[in-house]
Amino acid sequence: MSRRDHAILNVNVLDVGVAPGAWTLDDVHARSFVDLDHFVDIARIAERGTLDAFFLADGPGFWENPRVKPTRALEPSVILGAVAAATESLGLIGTASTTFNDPYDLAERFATLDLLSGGRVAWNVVTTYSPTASTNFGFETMPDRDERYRRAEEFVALVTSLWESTRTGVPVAHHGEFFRVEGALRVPASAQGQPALIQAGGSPAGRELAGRSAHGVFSAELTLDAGIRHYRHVKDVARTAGRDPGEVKILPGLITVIGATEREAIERYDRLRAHVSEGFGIERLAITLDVPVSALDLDAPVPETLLDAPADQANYGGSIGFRESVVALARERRPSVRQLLRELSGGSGHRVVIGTPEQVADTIEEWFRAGAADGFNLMPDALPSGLATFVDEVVPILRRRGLFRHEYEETTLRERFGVALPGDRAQSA
Amino acid sequence: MDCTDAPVRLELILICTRGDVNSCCRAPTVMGLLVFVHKRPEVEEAIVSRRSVVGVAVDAALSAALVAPDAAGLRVDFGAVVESSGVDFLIVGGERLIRSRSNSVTIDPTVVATVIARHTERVGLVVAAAPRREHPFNIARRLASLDHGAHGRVGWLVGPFDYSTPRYEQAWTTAGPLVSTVDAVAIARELWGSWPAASIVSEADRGVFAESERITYIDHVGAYSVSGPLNVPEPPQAQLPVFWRPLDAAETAAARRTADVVIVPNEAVAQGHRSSFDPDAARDQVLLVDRHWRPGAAIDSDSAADGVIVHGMTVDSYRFVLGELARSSYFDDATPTLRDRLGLAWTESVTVGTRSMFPIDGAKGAAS
Repeated sequence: MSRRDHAILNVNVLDVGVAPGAWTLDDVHARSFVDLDHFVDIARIAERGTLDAFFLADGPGFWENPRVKPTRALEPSVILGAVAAATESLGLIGTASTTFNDPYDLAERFATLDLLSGGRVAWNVVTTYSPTASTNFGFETMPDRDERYRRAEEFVALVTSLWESTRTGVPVAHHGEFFRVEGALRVPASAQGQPALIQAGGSPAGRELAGRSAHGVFSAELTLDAGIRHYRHVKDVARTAGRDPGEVKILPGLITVIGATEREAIERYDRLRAHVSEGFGIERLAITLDVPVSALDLDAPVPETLLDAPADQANYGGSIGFRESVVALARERRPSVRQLLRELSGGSGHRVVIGTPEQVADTIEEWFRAGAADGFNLMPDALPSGLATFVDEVVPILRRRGLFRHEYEETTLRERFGVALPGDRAQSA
Repeated sequence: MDCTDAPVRLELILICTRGDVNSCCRAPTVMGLLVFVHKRPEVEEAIVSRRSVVGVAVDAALSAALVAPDAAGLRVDFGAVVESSGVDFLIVGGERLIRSRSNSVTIDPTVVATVIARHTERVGLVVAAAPRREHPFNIARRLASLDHGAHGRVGWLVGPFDYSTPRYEQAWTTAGPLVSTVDAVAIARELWGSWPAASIVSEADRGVFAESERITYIDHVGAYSVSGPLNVPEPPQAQLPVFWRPLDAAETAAARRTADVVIVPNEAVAQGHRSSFDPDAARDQVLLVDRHWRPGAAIDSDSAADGVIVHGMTVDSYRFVLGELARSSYFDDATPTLRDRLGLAWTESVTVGTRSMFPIDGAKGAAS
């Protein structure tokens, strides 16, 4: 069972790192982003640092232009299969879409990974907000949000039933709006029974859903105030739904740029962005704000009217969670678009900490103790070097401060995150 | 050497389809001969028999043993024994595509192939996937990813149904199973070429990682509509070999026209394929015969087929089976791709689309 006084730290493995110039470093090569050795090396570093889990974001289609940097490419189950076979305690979290997958197929693949890993796997449930993905599956336009969320709810319920059937042998008989499945899933049950569920629910609706049913929430928070508010909201929803609020972990993203001095860290940050234009990320920012790129002037703040305008939720092509956090930051500091892009490190909506190992440990501690986070989804600027630095320099500080484990005490993800199996909750309540 | 109509039997064949031999040979240090065959004007490629190919089936029970959580030692040993046997490939999950089997356990074939890939360096890995329940985009992506992970050793065993899954309606297309299977293969082949390998230039001084204007939509309309492109770069083999074990006459006709490798139940059927002329059949096609393992049984090379797939290996018998199947490799120093092992012609990427996904826009400058 994870300790309440320990922060949870996952590594969000974005190919060679989130920094646009990470691919120019000497410790990676042109094909690192499709090289399983690269991902296994990263996993081994994470396990050496006793990090909680290795996390893969994903989508079935391009979501960024690989002109200036590599992109997420390899299908997650291939990466997680290799990493599972090469590690013993590290958690393994893979993202897969409910909109563009088949529930039986997904259930079987994740159950197999969970079996192989000795019960260390979780599925990060997303509905996929990328319009470029939908045309790969025959949709001329993206299914609207209501339909995506209805399909997602049914999909998750069906997958959970199929996973239970691996433990009970009882066949599933599911007849729903989107799917019809009769039969049991015949993968041997894993050491943790069945995979855990994570949800990247950053929107108000997502936070509601997460509070009710997810075990983890990967969010984007740019300010401490918003982080605390959203944290309290999800925990309240959990309580209202009769859950132990400790069962749902809130993990904002955190981009780390670490140097021996703050000056060195800033230089590293700038060096790893040197080849991109100042406008890098402006397309993503425009999508996030649901405005045309032409409405954004690099030298001026985002117009108030655009910040105020609510997103057309049904057809919004961005992430509502990201939008909220970007709008909050833009309102709080009124930065120019140029400054905003720099702070957002390319429009992603995640917070960036640029500094010494102590400074990185300080901000993790501040958010954790203020009740804004149960931990973080770390995004090192470059992989593997940025993660190695974090493990070698920051983890020891967190351990000294009593904020992080010295060694793994458990091997399954459910034990680590304190998540009961679905059937057991009724017995333990 | 005379050119005759009879097939030429040689220990090793390299088929050079282009004028420049040096650019065409993938395994320069192999023992054996580089053969120049007079090209008859009406035939682009010299038709010669290939060396005997040996594949070995990994069934559900062995798959389950290999992905068991406490099987680290087994995986290491199995990988080592497979590698030293020199067999050409393993085929994972094939039993799922066969009607009569009912397995007590099912294991995802991609995960099995991934762990075997991590414990081997040379053996080919053929993964079963039916595009019925799974969308062809996802299959294409997963197999391309595995080919990257295994450095060019992966193949796809396709079939219209995965009988190990519960029956339910087709989600992605209303077209019939054979039509959609053939279309799925076409889609995968187009997707595998949609992000050309050569576009990844990684030029730090120019600040260009990939010349992404060369990434093109495939705009495929058929049983499935798939715009592409695939967000995985062109796999090492460019075109993964597609295997098909047809279960009836209709599948046979489709397989002969679609697949790189057709698996048949016995010698007689193989002979029948060789002697019957189908103008639409794929030109460069490998025929393999299913064989059940018997101790001491020789794998004869005097056959209308190009090789065999051996069934019946188990977690208790693999050392013995693979020991008996052991053969010296023709490929010595080089690490052959699965295409090389099958004797399939080297292929260039299939570029079908001209519509660029990331066109360079002069007004915007470098795209972000």
